[in-house]
Amino acid sequence: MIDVARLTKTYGDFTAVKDFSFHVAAGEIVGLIGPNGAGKTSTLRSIAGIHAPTAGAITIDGQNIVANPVEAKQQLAFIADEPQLFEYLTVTEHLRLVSRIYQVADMEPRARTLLTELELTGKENALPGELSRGMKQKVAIACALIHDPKALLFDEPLTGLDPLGIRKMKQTIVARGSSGAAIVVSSHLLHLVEEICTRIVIIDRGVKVGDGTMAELSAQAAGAGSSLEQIFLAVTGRES
Amino acid sequence: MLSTLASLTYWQVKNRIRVRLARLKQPRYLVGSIAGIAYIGYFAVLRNPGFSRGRGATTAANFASAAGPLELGAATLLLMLAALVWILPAAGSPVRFSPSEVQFLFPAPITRRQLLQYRLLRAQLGLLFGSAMATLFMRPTSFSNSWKFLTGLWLILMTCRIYFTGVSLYREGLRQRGIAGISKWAPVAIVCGAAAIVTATIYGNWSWLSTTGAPRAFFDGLDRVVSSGPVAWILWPFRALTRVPLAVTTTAYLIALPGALVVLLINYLWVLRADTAFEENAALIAEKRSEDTPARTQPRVRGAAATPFALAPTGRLETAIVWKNLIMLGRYASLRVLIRLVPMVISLGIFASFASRRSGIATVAGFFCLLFIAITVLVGPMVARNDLRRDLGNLAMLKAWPMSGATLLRGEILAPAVMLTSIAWLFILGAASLAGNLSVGVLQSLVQDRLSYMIAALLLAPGIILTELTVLNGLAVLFPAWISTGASRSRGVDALGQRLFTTAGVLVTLVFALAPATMAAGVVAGGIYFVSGVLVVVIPAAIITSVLILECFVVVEMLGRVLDRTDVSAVSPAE
Repeated sequence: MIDVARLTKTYGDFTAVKDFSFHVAAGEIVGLIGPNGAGKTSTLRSIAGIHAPTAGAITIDGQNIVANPVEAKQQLAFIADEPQLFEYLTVTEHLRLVSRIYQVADMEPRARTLLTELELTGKENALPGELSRGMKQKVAIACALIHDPKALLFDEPLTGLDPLGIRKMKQTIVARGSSGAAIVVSSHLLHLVEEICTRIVIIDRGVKVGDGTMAELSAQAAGAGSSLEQIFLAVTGRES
Repeated sequence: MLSTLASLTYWQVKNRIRVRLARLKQPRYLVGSIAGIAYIGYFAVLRNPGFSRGRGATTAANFASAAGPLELGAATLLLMLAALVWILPAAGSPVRFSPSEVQFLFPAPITRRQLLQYRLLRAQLGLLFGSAMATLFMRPTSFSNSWKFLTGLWLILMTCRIYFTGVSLYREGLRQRGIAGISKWAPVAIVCGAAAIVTATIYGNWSWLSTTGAPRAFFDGLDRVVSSGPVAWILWPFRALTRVPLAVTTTAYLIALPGALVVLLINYLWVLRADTAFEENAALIAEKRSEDTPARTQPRVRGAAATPFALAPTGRLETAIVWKNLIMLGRYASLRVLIRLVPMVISLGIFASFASRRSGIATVAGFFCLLFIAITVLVGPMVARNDLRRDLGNLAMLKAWPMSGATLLRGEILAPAVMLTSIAWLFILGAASLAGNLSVGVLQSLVQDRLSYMIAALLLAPGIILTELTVLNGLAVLFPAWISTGASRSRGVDALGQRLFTTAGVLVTLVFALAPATMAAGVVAGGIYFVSGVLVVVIPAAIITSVLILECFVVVEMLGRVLDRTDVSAVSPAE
């Protein structure tokens, strides 16, 4: 579903991601982890078509994000770490706008379901300025899910959510994965990644340093320990 | 502690200059800065009267003769402004702090009064820069004598800023303590009463003043009227301020200076006494202003159905962008915004009432309609920013949507185009219906055939508006770092150069876009005239607009491809 082949992304003289490849199949939830500045967000933004890759190819459901951006993005949803909303549109208007962008004919029932699922009922006519950060994040997620995307990219999805919101979010991600969506979750919360992801990709200084299930990574970092935290520190060379 | 805060100001200025210098590595900023410096240099040096002995002497003489009336006029204006500040709604928080200042300074062991002093001190840099720019462009006297005007203007701006802060703090203090009644309305009554006394005195003497004939005699008479009795006392602080920049000689300047400094000092002491509101709830006040979106520009929802039209879930994507951007426009409009237009409406009303005595109300209204058509069509596209210029801050989100750059751009441009065209059409219809009584000499035939000209204008307006918007949005696509997102505006010499480029770019491109359109229309109009002997205007207007729309369509397609290739990481937002 999501294919990243030899992705390189540079900003001027700085190389954020180098020769990075991975694949996410339908129904798979891949955790993308790495230290600060490792290149996680650059990777996700390149997959989402926000940043143009310097080299390499990215395909979503067989559509190249550079050659056929509209077709590729039609299958995709990107949830940024900082919820980006239009300050002058209400919650319902956001959903209405995004539905039109993705041509969602049955917008009304889908919107109702999502608003209930994300506990946004009663906030339909609220502007982003009247919502807490967690609520804004939920609106961004509702907008991302309204067209039932085949591929989902989450960048730090739990930021700003309360404990109940965190639980709901984890359930939402798992449910989408179970229904066949290919999902990439980038997070510093290793316990979240360990809990919900079927496979983990570790990136450090723009280069892939680990890729596999928990068991495979544990075997790869033999002697480091069995928790993802221990594996992560060992693989990224920061154990000391 | 104030020395630390002064150091903070110094570091901010130093680093801002360093960043600006580093930005010059990019050709567009370099070119913009060169243009800005050249523009300022042209006005400050080449066109400065101080560099031309004869011209300088004439200008100085003119300035000396106009100084008296100017002083009086400016003082009256300041009085009206001082009264209006109490009447008009507050514009956001009285004391402005950046988010980082709130985060670092408010938990620090610094008194609120020191913070207030720091902000007032910090504001002086901007006021000094503004005064210097105003002096350069207004050039009241010779170059060597400009320091008097500069420092005098700075003194006025400084006093105004302190006074406005004082008014805001006083009102905020009352609001926080829930005080109404006499404390709330007493200052309003005092300043409005003062303004009313001055107005009534001038109005009472207007009949004989208007018979004085020459402007000089009129102002001398007016000066005598306002230089005695309570009016003289009311106007004293304002005249004490306006006298300084308008001082013709150094001696006059030195004599005027103490009075102005006393006014400044009284305002400063008043603000320090009125800072209770800031003392009590400083962080709240500061954060209210330091948010990304200033309080005065917060959108509002009035009713659940406050949208321009119902957006169907499927259909053309451009319509969704138009819908979004029209909502944006409605959400920022408020009664408060309309109240801010009151001074302009009153000024126009006074002008209209005087003019209508001679020419009739319909003629004056028709004239205003023509004026507003020109403003809407030519200036409107630069002011109405509910398009890509405003949306650049959301570019990452927009780029993630499944739509081509051209589609996005069409939607973005169409929203302000629809709005401005509607306004222009309203004024065109107004002008045409009121133009019957106009007397315009050799152009009288225009009035007689006004139906044709009205239709032609109705056709031309959208074409010209669309072209301008295409150019402005094209600049946003090609030079995104030049565009201020949201409510902010770039400042500095390079920004001035960039704005000059923008204005010049719009005008030059408009001329280039109009050239083929006008030629095509001219050929057709000439053909019709050759065959029938009738000079038509509607058909050429339709041709011009059709060609302009076609040109815009082609240009938007090309710009859309650039937008598709634009990497969000390459877009450095304007300061």
